[in-house]
Amino acid sequence: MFKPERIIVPQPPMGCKCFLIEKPGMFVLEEGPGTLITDACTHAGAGALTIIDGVPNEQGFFPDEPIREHYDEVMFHELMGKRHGREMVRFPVVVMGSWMLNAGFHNGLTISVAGGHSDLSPIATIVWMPFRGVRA
Amino acid sequence: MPDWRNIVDEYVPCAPGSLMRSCTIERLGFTRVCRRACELYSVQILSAGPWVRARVLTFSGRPLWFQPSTFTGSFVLMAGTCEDEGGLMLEMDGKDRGASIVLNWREADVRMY
Repeated sequence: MFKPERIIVPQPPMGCKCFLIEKPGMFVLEEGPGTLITDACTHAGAGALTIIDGVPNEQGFFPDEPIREHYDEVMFHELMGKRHGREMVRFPVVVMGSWMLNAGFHNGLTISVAGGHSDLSPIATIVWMPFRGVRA
Repeated sequence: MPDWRNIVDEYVPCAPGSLMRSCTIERLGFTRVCRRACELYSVQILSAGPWVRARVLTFSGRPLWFQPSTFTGSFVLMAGTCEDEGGLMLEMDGKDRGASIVLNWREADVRMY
C-alpha cells in the first residue's frame, strides 16, 4: 500500500486542472467535489490504475462512517454513492486510449497506480474540473 | 527546463470566430506553440516516426502529456490547462526525424488580459 501523496495544482485562469501520472503511487489530486473530465492513457505499462472518489487518510485507507442497515434502499444507495473510497474507474490492466468520462465526484479525486514495476508504470494525463460553486 | 536558445517558436493563427488553434510538428527538439496560458484540447499522432518519444510541457517544465514510445492515435484531453503564462511546448526526441504530431489548443481571448 502506497502512502498518499498530495498534489497541488494551481487553479488555472481558464479550463480544467491537469496532471500527468507517470509513476506508481497514490495521488490525491483534489479534496472536494468536482468533475473528472478525461483520463488520457498514453502508455499502458504494467500495473493497475484506479480512480477513486474520496480522500484517503495518511495510511492510504478510506475511513468512513459505517452505513447502517436499517436505512431504506434509496437512502442506502445514496449513501453508498457518496461514500469515501468509491471506485469510479478501475483498469485492472491499463489500456491505452483517451477515456472521456465527465464523471462527478463528491469527496475528492484520488488516483491509485499499483503493482507492476516502477520503470514500467502506466502513464496517463488526468484532467478534472473542481467545483467552483453555484452562480446565480 | 531547456536552454531557451534551443526552443523554436511556431506562430499559429486562429480562425475568426474561434479561439482554437492547430499546428503540426515534425521536427525533433523543443517547439513552443503558444506564449500564454491556454487549454490543451488534444494531441494527435498521425505518424509514429522512428523510435520517437514525445512530451508536452508548460514553459516552466511541468509535463502535461507524455508518451515514451509514440503510437498513432488521438488523445483528447478536452481542456487540460497549461496555467503557465510562458506557454506550451512540445519536446520530441528520436533517431533521425520526428513523429508527425498535431497539437490542438485554445488560447484566451485577448480581452481577458
